[in-house]
Amino acid sequence: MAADDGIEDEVFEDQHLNVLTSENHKNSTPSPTGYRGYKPPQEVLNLAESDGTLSETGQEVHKTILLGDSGVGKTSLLVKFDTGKFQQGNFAATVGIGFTNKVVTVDDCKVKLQIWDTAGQERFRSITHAYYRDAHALLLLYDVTNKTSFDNIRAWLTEIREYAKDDVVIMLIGNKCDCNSERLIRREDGDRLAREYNVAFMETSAKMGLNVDLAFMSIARELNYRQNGNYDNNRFRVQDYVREQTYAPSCTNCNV
Amino acid sequence: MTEKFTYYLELSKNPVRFEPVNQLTNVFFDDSNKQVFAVRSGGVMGVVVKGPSEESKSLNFRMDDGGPVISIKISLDQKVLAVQRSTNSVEFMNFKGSNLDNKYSQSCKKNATLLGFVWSYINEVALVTDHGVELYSVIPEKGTLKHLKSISVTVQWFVWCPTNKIALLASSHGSQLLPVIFKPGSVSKMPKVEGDPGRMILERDITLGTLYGTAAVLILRHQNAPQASEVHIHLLNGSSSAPIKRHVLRLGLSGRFAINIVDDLILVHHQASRSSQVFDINLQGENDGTVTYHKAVAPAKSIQPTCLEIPGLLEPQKHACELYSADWVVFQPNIVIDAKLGCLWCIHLILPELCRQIPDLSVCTQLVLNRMNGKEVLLKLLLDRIELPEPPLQQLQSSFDCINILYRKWIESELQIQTASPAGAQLPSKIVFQPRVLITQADMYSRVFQKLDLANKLQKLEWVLISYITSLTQNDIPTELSLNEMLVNTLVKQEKNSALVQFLQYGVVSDSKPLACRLLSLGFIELALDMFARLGATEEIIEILLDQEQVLPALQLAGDKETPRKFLQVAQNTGNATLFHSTVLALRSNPHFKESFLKDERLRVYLNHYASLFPNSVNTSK
Amino acid sequence: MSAEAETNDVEPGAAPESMLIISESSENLQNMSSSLDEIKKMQPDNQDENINNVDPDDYDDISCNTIATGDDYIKDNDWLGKSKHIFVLSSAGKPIYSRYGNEDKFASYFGVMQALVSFVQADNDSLKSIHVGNTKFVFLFKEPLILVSISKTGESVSQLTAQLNYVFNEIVSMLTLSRLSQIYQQRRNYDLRRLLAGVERLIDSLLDFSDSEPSFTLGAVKCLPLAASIRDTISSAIVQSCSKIKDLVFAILLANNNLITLVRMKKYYIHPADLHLIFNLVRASESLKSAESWTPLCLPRFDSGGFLYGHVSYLSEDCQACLLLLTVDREAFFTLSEAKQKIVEKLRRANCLEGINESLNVREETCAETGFPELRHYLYKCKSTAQFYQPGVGAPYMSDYGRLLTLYRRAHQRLHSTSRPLKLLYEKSSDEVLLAWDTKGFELYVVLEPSTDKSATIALIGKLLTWIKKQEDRLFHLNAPTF
Repeated sequence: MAADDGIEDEVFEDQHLNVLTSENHKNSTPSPTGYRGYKPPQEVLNLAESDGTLSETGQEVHKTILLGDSGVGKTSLLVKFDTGKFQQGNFAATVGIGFTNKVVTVDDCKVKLQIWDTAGQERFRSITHAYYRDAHALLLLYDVTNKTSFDNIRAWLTEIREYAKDDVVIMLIGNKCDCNSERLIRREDGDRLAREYNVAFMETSAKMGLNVDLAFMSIARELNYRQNGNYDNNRFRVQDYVREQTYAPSCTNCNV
Repeated sequence: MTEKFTYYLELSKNPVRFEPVNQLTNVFFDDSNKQVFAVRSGGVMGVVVKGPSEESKSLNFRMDDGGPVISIKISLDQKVLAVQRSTNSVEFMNFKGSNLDNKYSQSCKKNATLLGFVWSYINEVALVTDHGVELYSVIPEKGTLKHLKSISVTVQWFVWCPTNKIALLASSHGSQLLPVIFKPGSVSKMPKVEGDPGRMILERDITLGTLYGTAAVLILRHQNAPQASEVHIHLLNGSSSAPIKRHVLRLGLSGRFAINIVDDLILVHHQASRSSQVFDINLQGENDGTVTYHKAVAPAKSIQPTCLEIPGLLEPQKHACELYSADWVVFQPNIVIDAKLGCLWCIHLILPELCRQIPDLSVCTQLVLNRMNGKEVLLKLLLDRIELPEPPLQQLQSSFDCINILYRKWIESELQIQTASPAGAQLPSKIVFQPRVLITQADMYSRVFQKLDLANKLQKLEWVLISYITSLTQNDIPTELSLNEMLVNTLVKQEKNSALVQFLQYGVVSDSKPLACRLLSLGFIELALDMFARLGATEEIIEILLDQEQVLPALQLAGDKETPRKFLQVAQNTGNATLFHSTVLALRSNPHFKESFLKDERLRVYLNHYASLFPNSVNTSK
Repeated sequence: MSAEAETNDVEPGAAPESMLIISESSENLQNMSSSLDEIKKMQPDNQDENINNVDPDDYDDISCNTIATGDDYIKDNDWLGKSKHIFVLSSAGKPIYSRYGNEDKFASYFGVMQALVSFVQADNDSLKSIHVGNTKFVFLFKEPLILVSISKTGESVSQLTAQLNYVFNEIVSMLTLSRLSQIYQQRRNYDLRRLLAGVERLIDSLLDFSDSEPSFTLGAVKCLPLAASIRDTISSAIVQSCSKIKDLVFAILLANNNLITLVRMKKYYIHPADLHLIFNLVRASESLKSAESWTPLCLPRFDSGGFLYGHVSYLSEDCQACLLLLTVDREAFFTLSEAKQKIVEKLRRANCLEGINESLNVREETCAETGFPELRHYLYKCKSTAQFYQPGVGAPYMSDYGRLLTLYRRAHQRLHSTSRPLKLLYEKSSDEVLLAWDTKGFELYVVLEPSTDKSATIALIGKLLTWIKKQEDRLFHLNAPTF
């Protein structure tokens, strides 16, 4: 892990740590929703009654892993996709692997995504490797304001090639593209790298919600598409799809 | 102290001058009236009576020729002159103005030889013969005498003491000494003076006097050994008990001596060495159970030389008087007469000079305490000694003890008078004890301590104060505030705080509210609080504690008279929320104040303050 | 005052068996057991690839760029004003952690610290502490790390050492001790920070946590007050849902830094110090709320040589109690995920979630509310179960809990001083009366109104112990359920 990366991580988290500790300490109400008479959402109840599997749809669960250096915004991206909220100030590094189920509809089809949000830290890598093998799709993130996280992408891709299935769907994501003033990696750098490794690419902003749904939806669409047979052209399809749908950040200095 | 030659005895500056003894003139001295009689040619040429001082009016008169005068004395009321010219009778003449008239006489008993006579009381005269004493009442207007009483006893010579009205009758060459005492209209024997049996005593070796209010017989004893003469003192304590030898003065000399008594001190003049020694029987000496042996309190010194002014041809000339001359005659108590020179002096003591000769301060103090007008001398003496580079602390301590023993007695007697006499009642018969020298704390403060303080001799002041206060304490005399304050200030100025703490703790400095306040003002809060606590001054303590923002300890002392607002306000002003909490809690749990929280609307503001400090606390409810 | 306490056969909160290892106050964290091997040996086929054998050289050491010491912290008043600094460095003097500021910026001071420790060590001695004025420099050398605390807080050397031990254990819990040693054996100059990315946040949290809580000082945990019936129902729901799962060692349910229940594999116990690390992990990791998590975790007192694997999740969105299922099986995620769903379902049906929420939402009664107005606050630790209880913080400490903690720490130190331990401490100051009492069965620390006299204090403590005894099955976890 790079020193730069570490600093970034720290700065980001330090800002909110005090808020966290003091809240934990003072606030005796652990959850704003933990009130009397609370009814959990239907899907939670369904989940409870269905023994935790999504078998009622009878469809395959698509395992998707979020990868990338610590602090690039993997969890933020997932939370934004899952809940539509950006966890400003409530964020902390992922411990081990986080597990989220999400059902999305693509092409009038329900696709179940089982999303594994991994911790970026090096020490967790041995445990995450074990899950590469089963993964159907990988979202590999870097932070456009953090050069090391971009430089490490090649190492990540090498690792993926080693541990993951050959036909895994890979998408390279340059996150935090809203931070124009701090940007260090141009969009075209990311694009060039993606082309080199023949993987899909887009820039996202978990904060602004830019391209977040698109990233997951295009993965879902691809996985759904493959499941339904048409395997041969998949790689090109997902990339094409992405290119068609991507909203480029509206800025003048990112050399798009 | 530079040793300049000093004298502690002096002769009166203005002696009584009279015509000196010569072929024509005889001089007589009457020690009852202290009058000198210059009798020219048996009185025919005139008699001049002077005394007791040079200033007193002299008396001049003439007498008829009746032969040489043996003795001449004027009655105590100065109205009758008595003259002895023979060995068996005395003539009396009444004064009429400055002249005499109405001469009458009295003979003594047949076969008796008249040794002398004395005026014992007004109009009472005693004739002393070799057969005893005959007491007569003189009736001047009738020109007669009336026999009152006689005592039959063999007498060889006698000595008269006019102050005590005692005559000492000597027989068997002075080995038998019988005092007789005169009362108005009466004379009676007293127990014999116990002398050494068979030992002769000359008349000139006997001195009668008064020592510290007691009649005394002083007998000069010439011992066989050289330089070993002694004076034996027999005290005549009342008529019933026998006069006992109580004191012996060791003169350390031999030869001719003369004795005076000045201010209860015995002066022994020694002619050969031309010096005088001073003795005080009240000082301690070697004691064998009955007799105390004394040494001179100071080295023997000559009387201060003196001069007489003699009219010269052109201007007065000075004539240096010969001291200790063979022409000196000494009379009691303090009279020296040089008949050849025609001078009568009184001997005076120069007390400060005497003190200077006594190195031991403690002894010196004891001596001065018994002197008339000793107070000034003693205070000055103390200050002088203290100001020495190395003050004699040990002696100072016992000196203070001597002073305070008297002080204590005086306080007790004052107290007795105050407590024993109800308003308007007669003073009790008991005589007030009034020491000759009374040195009170106020005296010490203004004459000694304050001077040291002004001179900023703090270390010295501290020692002396402690020594003095210790002595007061030992004599159960409460120390006055001024001294305690001074000690505290002295210690504080020297930053001797631990000493201060100890003095307070061990009660060297006694507690008082003013002193506690003083401590407070000096910033010794804890010490002040302790003192107030010992004095049980709760109200003061509460105020101080509140001033110190110690609300809770103050509250614990508070009775039901205090108002809760005072405590709450202080607690609130401190800005210490914990303190405010405890104050509210303590007040509410105190039965004295519980009620006022419900009743007193003025407390509402404090409860509101509490609620703002501690929202949702149980104490805010109600 | 013993009358009240001794008449009860058992002190309040005592239980026949504890799920926690009974801890003595001065933590001796040297003794680390190796429970993992035992459990794993029970497995017939253990194909576990040893994750500890990763060669550190496999990773590019790209973080070794030293940063020029531009700004000097020694001149920074803000930095200097901190009441406590904690540093961690390798035995070679490489910076690993600093509580405040960037550790790279005072590399030279790390050098001095390393030199001090090794200089003393050269004489077969060890540097424990240096005292300068009211500042204590406390050193803990735990191969291969050096931990240093520079404190003006008034805590004792042993308390500061205990805290450093916790920091060391936090690092071990992320890496295991075996791996930590191995790394440095292979490369003495290794920059451990690349492996500890994100751990500094846990250490920060741990330090804040232990500075703001009495549980670390006491070596005990606090339970969430619950009716005994609810707690038992929760425990049995866990037991029932997990009984068939092999290799599950501990199931821990906690909320708001309070323990709700702990179910354990027979014969195995968890040490309070390990539990504190778990509490800290949950406390510091807000991300656990967003998803079910699966993480390796080493419990140093349980076994410093290997990882347990933890399924970590909050019970539900409407009940913010965190459930940790700790297993030795690294493949057990889905099994445990399933078990968790069952547990939640059972708890929901038995209204236990509501029970937990109620307890979480109710502010703990203060002493004044309980009926002890003179009693400001207290800590009661039952030694046999390593659990403690403290009432709600009332006036006057509502906004100054730190002062209370300082008092407790000082009293604790007096009771557990190695040179002159006290059984009973009674201290009266103008601010408060402090009483600390160490008996065979319990430790009690009481802060009272300054006006309370000795006899009133004794009477109050008698009443208090009776009250705790009455409340014990609500305040303490008296059972020690097993799978």
